[in-house]
Amino acid sequence: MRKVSVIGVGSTLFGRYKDVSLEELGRQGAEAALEDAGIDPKDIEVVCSGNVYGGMCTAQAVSKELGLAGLEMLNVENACASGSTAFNFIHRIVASGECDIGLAFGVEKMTALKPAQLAPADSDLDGRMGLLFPAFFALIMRRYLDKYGISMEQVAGVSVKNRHHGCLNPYAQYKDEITIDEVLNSRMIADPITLLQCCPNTDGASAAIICATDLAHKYTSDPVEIAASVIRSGDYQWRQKELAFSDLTNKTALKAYEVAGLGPRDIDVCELHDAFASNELMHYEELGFCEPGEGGKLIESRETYLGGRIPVNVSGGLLSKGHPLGASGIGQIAEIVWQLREQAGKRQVEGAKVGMAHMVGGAVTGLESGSCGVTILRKE
Amino acid sequence: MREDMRKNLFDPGLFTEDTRALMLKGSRCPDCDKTFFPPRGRCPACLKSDLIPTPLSTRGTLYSYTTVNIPSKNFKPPYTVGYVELKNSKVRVFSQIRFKEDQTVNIGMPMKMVIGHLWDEPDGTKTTGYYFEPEGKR
Repeated sequence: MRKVSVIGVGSTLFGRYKDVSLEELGRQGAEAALEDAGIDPKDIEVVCSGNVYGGMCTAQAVSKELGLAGLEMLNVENACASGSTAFNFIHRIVASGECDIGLAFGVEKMTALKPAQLAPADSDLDGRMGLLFPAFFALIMRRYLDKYGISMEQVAGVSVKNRHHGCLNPYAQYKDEITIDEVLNSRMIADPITLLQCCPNTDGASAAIICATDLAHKYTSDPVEIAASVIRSGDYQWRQKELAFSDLTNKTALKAYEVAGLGPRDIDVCELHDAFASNELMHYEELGFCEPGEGGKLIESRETYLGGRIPVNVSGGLLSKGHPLGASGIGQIAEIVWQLREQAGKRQVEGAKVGMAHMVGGAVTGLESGSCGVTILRKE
Repeated sequence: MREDMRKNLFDPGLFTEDTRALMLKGSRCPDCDKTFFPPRGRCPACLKSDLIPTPLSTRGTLYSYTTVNIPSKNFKPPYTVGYVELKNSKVRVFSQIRFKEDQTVNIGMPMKMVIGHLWDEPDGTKTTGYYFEPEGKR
């Protein structure tokens, strides 16, 4: 396998696109990445799309708007990690030597969905019994609070931090500060999860152009190396010792660290799955940024703020940007690329050389979770 | 057990009955002695097929719970859901949790399974199935 780099990334603003079609939204995300890479669509040899709710052949539907048809195209659905998975497929196809340049994009229109659609597949047993994603994460959160004595103020602190970071990011949907009291007093969604602990429903598209490293300098002076891109899926729930610790995120991260030859201390900036505020505290522990049970202390120490020891979700995270499922994973990768190229403006992590993107999600009866993707990027 | 209750079970394959009542049907692996729900064709631990259908205990403890304020396909808010860890088998079942207004629920609370009305289909059928409530509610 040869080395592979990202030579361009792009994203639409995440928000509400009621009158824009899925194809057009995806095209805008992909065009932004093509422009960033400074390449022509005809250089693309393979396309992969990440999407959950859009239906058939999204890669083809978007690509035809770019003037691309007839080449190899793949469509992946992997819940919240759909974009991370699309990125992973193109990474591997280019690493294998089969293609030199590929396009990975994610696109999603969430704002037209009804709350009842934030659920597992129609035939899923737990889904039929009333499982929605806010409830799924509330059940995990309650065990987490109970096991480690994490306070609601510590959980709310994640929303406060990420919304603070969102104020620094032109791509964020929410650009206003909130307080711990506002988070805790907002409308109850699935107790103990209140509205301001939830990411907003959002439309958006993000894309990345992936190229063999030995050819990357033809197109850009600052390619970003893909040090690891790992996808794993949830194990049986009965094998899991404790709901308060995601073995899935942990095993995916450990494999990514192994592939990259790096550890948690080497990560300068991290974008992780904060669909609900408590997720972020648990992921600190599972990704190895602190010991199990120490997530509450880590947010209180402000070490995950911009300027801290391990800045997390300096983009504002899903809590500020919103969470267009298929797009989110590549949106995170775009943020890490901007950080490593020192193009992140007011939210720039000084001297960042290694960055991580993490997505996890999806529910299937009997399994811990659906899918997880961890990507580690490194400045060359 | 009233006949219409039995007739309108949302997935009859999930249930079994002894002489007295409907119970959840699990699959027990004769080799590694683990029990699973919903029933399976192959043991996910040792991969043996030919698992033995086994009635599961109707008693358990509440593992986690949440009251949901947004509608799902089959339930109008507010409704409470949770995981119940069943006695003996330790199988964890996701279910609706029902309790009286003046009752509070807690992790570790003893629960029992009830067969009753779950939701109405668009054609008006009153679909039945399992839910859990705190022991000693009635």
